[in-house]
Amino acid sequence: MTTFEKSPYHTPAKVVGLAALAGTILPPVAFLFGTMPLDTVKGIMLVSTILWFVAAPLWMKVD
Amino acid sequence: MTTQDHEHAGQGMVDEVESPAVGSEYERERVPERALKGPSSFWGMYAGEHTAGTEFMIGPLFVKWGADAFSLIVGLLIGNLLAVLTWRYLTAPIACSERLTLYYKMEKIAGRGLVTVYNLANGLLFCFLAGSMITVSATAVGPFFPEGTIAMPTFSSTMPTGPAWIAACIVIGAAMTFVALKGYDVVALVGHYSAPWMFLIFLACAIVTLGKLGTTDVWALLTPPPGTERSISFVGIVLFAWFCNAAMHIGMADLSVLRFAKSPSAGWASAAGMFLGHYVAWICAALLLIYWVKEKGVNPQEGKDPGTMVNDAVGWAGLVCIIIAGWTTANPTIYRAGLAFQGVLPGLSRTGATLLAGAVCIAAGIFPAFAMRLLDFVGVYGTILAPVGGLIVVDHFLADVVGIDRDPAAKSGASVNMAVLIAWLVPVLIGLSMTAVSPVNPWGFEVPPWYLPLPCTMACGILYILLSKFASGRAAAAA
Repeated sequence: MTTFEKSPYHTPAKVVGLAALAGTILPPVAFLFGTMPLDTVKGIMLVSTILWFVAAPLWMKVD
Repeated sequence: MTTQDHEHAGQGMVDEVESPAVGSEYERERVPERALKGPSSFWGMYAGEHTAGTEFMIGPLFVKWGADAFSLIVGLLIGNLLAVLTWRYLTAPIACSERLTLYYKMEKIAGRGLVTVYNLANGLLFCFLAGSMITVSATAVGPFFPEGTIAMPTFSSTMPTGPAWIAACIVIGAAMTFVALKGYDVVALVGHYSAPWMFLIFLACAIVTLGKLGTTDVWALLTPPPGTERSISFVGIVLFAWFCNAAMHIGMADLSVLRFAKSPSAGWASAAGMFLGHYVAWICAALLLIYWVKEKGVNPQEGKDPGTMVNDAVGWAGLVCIIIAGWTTANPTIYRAGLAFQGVLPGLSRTGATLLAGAVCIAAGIFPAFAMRLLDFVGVYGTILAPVGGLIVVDHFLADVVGIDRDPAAKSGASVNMAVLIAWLVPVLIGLSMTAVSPVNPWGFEVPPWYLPLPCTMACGILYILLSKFASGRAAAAA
């Protein structure tokens, strides 16, 4: 199937995708340690979710 | 849990079985060398397939049944390891040696007529499985509306909770069916892209829950309060984890997937699905209900719907996760159920068959009984379909040793191999009659359904040998 190795969007999409994954898991960790309120956690996770689904198709390889 | 949503290697839980008409590649021939795929194709696929919306049900159901911390942490570890070993050392070697779909291999052993029967059983079970996914997804719709608009089901719910619930199930089920009508390449891609994010959402739910409970002592949290009645033992947890996907590994449905593997070591890829989806995700989901029991006074026997719990923990991102997890697993399941029905009713168009399957799935989804008894259901599912694997193991490893024909139906041209039919039905009927789901139980005791796939599979294999020997003896005498 299509790969995106040569796409000009590959590297930026990879950066955004990884940031989105970090934005999905790090805010809950911050909440666990009491450094971020839950509403903020939920907001960041939602934004990260949107970013992930924008970035992943431009980055992830499908064999 | 896992549904059988395999297309073929390289496509991204269900969790499920490839139908003869699906994937149009090498359905009636060995997979050629040039089409083989490396292990990376399988790791992603298994990880995605076994992290489904229904995982949000299974973890809390363990809490309902009073499972203790040791059973959950160690028992699930052992059970999932056994499942991985079964994939690696039983399913994958046969798949890489035969390189045929389950259906074509079964046709060679059992005859085309019996494959149709298998397809029907498979199709109906697919519908109920997809129905439970619709139920779980529908619970994610509730939090988008003012509280009380949609009455959510609990563990004890068997009937629809009201018109709004029915409407939610119909809308979600209809959307899934509509996409299934279009084929599911897009859904498979969404499933592939969702997998890493979805796993992190499960993990996030657990981390937030620990934060709300103010502790990181997971062992203490998973320990039920004194006096809790235990409805599932350590062995029960091990066997459930091992056999919740029995149809895929000892049942050999994954022949259709692993036949594309370059070597049997691809069977290790199942570890991604088992340890992410059926270990970490189940424990994360269990923690969600434990929070509601400890902090909000919810009765663990009644439980709380996944949508409300996940929304409370991580908000809309979690609700999106439930819907996508249900969608990406239910959609291919509906599609495959349609194919199975089409196999039974050849006059039915693909559209008609998929609509029929979708309607059955929606009807099943409206009734929460299937989702709320998911543990029983997947046990029954494995008990009915796994014994087919016993036939294939005998044919592949033992036929020459015990002196019976390999691929007997292919040689004789029989449409129904009676030895297979009897060897399959007798253990399954006896096994199911021992379970709580049976309307008649003459045994005076009950066996949880997830105890049955292995003994039924072994009994099926042994009976098949005996009946084949008997039939060949009679044929020789007649000649």
